[in-house]
Amino acid sequence: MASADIELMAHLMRRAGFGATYEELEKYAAKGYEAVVDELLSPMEQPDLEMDLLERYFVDWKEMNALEVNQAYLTYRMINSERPLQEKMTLFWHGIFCVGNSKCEHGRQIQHQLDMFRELGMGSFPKLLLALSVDPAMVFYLDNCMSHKDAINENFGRELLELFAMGVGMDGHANYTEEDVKECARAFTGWTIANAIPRYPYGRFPSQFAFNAADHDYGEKTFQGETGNFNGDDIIEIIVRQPSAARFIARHLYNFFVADEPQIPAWQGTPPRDMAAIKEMEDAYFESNYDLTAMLRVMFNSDWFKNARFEKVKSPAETVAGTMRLVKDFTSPKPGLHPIAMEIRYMGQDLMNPPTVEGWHTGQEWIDSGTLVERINFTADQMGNVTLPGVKDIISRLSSEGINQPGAVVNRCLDMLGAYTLPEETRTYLVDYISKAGELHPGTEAYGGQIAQILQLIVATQEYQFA
Amino acid sequence: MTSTKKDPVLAVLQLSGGNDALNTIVPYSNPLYADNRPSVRVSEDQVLPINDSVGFNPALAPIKELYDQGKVAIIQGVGYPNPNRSHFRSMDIWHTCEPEQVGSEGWLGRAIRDLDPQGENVLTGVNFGRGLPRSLAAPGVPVASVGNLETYGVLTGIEDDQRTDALDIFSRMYSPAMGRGPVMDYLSHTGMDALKGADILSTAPEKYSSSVEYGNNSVAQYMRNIAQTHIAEFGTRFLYTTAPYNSFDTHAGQMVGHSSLWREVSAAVHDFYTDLTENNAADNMVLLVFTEFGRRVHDNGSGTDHGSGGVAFVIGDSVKGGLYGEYPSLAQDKLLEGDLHFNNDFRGLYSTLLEKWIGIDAKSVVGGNFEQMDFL
Amino acid sequence: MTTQALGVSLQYSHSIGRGEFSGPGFRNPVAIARGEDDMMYVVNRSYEYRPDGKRVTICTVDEDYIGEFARGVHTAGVTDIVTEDGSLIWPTSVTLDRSGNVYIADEWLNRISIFTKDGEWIGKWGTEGSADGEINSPSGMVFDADDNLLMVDSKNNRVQKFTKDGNFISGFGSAGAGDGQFNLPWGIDVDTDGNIYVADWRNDRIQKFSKDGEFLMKFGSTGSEPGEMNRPTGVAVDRTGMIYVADWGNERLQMFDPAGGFVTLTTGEGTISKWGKDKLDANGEMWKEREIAQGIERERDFWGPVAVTVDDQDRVFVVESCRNRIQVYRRQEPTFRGGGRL
Repeated sequence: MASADIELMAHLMRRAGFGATYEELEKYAAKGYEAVVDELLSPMEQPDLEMDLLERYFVDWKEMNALEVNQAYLTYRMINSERPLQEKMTLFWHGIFCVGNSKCEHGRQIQHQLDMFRELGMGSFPKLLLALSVDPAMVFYLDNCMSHKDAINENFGRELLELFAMGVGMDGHANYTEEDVKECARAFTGWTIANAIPRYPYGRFPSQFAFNAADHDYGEKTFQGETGNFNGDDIIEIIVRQPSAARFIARHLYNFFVADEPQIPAWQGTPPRDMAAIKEMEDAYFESNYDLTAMLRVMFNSDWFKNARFEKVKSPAETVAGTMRLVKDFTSPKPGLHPIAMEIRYMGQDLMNPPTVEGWHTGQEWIDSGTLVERINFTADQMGNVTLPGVKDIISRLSSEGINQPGAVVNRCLDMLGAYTLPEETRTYLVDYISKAGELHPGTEAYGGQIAQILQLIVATQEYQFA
Repeated sequence: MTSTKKDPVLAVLQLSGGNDALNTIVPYSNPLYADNRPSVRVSEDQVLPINDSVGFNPALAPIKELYDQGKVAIIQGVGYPNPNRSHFRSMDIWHTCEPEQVGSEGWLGRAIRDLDPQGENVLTGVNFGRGLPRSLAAPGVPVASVGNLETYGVLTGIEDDQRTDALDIFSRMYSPAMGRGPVMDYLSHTGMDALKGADILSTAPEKYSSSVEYGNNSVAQYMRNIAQTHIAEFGTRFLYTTAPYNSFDTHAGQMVGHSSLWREVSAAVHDFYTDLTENNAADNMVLLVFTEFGRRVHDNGSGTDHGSGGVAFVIGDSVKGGLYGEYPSLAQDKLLEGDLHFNNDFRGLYSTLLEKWIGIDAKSVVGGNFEQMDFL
Repeated sequence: MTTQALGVSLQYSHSIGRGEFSGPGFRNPVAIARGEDDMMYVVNRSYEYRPDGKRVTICTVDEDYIGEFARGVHTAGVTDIVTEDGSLIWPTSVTLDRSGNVYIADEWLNRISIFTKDGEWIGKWGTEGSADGEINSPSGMVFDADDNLLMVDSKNNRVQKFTKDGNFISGFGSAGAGDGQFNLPWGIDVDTDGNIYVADWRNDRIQKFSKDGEFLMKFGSTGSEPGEMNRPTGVAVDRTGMIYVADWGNERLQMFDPAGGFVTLTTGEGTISKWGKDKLDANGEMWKEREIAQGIERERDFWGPVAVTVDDQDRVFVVESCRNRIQVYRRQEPTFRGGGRL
């Protein structure tokens, strides 16, 4: 079986990225765990994708108009980014600060927001919240452009508190009052977008944030017990100082990176799974002056993270991107990416088009009988394709290691897919299966087929649905 | 499975992209129609008249035939207040019945939950096509999405001779085991449900025989799958499929494109009814054909752009055929920013289907009381 | 805006196009060729999930829609791609031989498809590889005075000359940044003397060669100042030797004199096209929205100026892949010369 180092590295890369091949895991393991965490936390030191090349071959990516084009692009990024944590954090914020194509219907506008997450998503929380509040897609999605000083629309003001920064409550008490919501909304009046250029005949133009002073309520407001002539940035400054903000991000990070938690509507009454872990991240938040990287560093280097193996159901995006990284397909531009990206939708995660402003419910809610069939069939189809480079690599590695015993084949295949383990009973089924298929002769074509079948059955297990 | 033979069943065919109502049920004698459609117009001599003012686009001849048998209700001017001209948003509104805010639960998802709150029949709702339309989505409601009925199942990529063994292992792996925690238990349960659903569905093609030869296009094939599943009597109450994604989005080249789309759709619908009738399965089936919006009154030289005020069809043996609702006015001062006004709220259409056909309370499903129609 | 330098200027004429997946309009157009009688052929790449938008549009300089041909194919699972004759996956360029037949390059299929001027498929050729006469990602193409086809064989970093039936004649170029070397070159044109100009895309420069492939000169370097380039995609030479460069990454068209000296540039002056007006007339409220829209002057700007061609009336056509539009310019001689040439 894989060494403890490899197992730990497989865990880290599944969570902080989209998984890695066995060869990559060996390289990472040689660098040492904390060094790899440092590397993940410094994405700007890794090269970005070469957009000029991508836009040359994926000509529609320069325009990036339609939802499906954006989904293909995001999928490609998740498969190929050499800054996996940056991409993972982009997905993290996208799941919290939702905007959706169902309302915005302007792919590039949403992509601008994701670019903002890439740039700011691992930095200062107040800066991120401020950027979010002036993001045209968000201003439109939550109707802040419809909020006027003489007729406020509470949508953005409410979600900023409830879904973006504080949460309804914690430790059994409420984090804010209805009055706070109104005052918050008042503070953001006049934060709007400029009149858009109509889409015909030459397509859409990015919207521009505009502050309309004449429509801003300059009056006195009382928010979270403080009083002043607050503008939106003052509100953000107050929010980030609250214990609820620290708790909010810490719980979200824990749910996304460590272990599945109850979903957000339950947070007011349900304590965190691991309060000590949450506290460590909260401390890091305040000690670092609201820095997200500080929280991530504490998390990834903690024992509670390292020990939380397979405590999360993979999201559809993780399932598809992780599978593609393992089989090493779509590592350069080629046709056929769109259907791969669509698999994420079929599995229940229509990226950039979340079901509600609450985003996607995670954990076991990813799975129903329809989406389970989609994920098993997709991953099994990929793993069964012995022409894909990653599958070839696995076969030739097992071949060169001369592995010809059924039990050893199953163990080694589990290693290759990311150091998985199976309950003994399930493992026995697989060993029996391969034993029935006849003798194993490494290096032969039949051997490749036998390995591929074991890979297919492993990805169909319950255990493989976890990260 | 309980005997559900005569339970009423609803099939839904979604025409995504926004079908042009004006060129579907054509107001051929209205001079404003010709004025507004210099380039994208069905000429009067082509129209299959229903009365002195409107008639079918000739591509709908097979549906006209059903109409003449009294089986087709044409719901004119169907829509909702403050129409949204985005495909995504408008389709979402039709799916969730939430015109004001972004909703997540689909109307049929809620209806399935009403009919089968414990999820006893994994096939109460079946969708044909990849990915679940939001109309069928509701937390905890299992709905199978079948890309291909002939091959639907788990581990379809494993070759035939090995697949039986693989499925045997799959069912053993997913059998409930003690002490693995609630999430694993849930996965076991779901995996077994999936297997069960696939096993049942896989028998549909075997149980089916018919002299009807459907067309070789995806709408026709999925309508055939709906017929097969319905005839097989799995207790399925809602069947759903979607014409190819956004195909009715006829911004350009509409005269050719729109006709050929409707030729396929109307032939598929006609074949579907012939098939059900031949198999004595037509009496408990009603088919709804809808789209997210109609199109602009004025053409753009080659096609039509996004509009409002659409047309829907309800078809079946139990349906009282005819024209329902008023045809929206084409007069300039009656238009809404260049679009037809709606006269019938689609939630009234849904309510009629749910209460008068399926027999469940519509209010909680569609989010309120809406005026029902008399086609059932 | 009319920019002037050395007395020669670019005068904006009009715009052609609107965004459509079929009929009058374009969808991510990437290439253009001019035919007889003001006819033009525009290659549309579209999105992968809308292969119906991949096609060649035939229309006139005055924006009369004539028709379209060559459909895209669905690419669900790349191994299952059915590549029927005349179908397109990743079309890159179009050019016409002396008899008016239309040649379309496909950089995924490594295939040249040939159609009559009316769009009837009549042939194909192309073999993937790196040996002489084999191709790897064909990009720009142009016929020379002998009616032989010059093709940018992009991933092989060379230019190859073929007969119109695809028989290899000669080739030049290799990978690199030196004189006569290329880094994923894209567009190509020939002047009246048969000299060859290549948009050396990833080297941010234009190179000029003799008809035999001998290096003659280069101009342009990485940057966004006038005369500098950011991934130049298209190059065209008019009958007086003036050179037009689609400076894709800088979103502009640059004009150079025959010696490679910078003359002028434009970032676009697009206006509403005829088809665009039809579209707005059908969506009347958009006329009103335009009146209150902020920053509507952005509509003039190029977005994705990917290809450029010039005809024998000195009309310059710039294809914008993201605006689904072609902006037409005219080279203007200084008026104080009474219209005479410099």
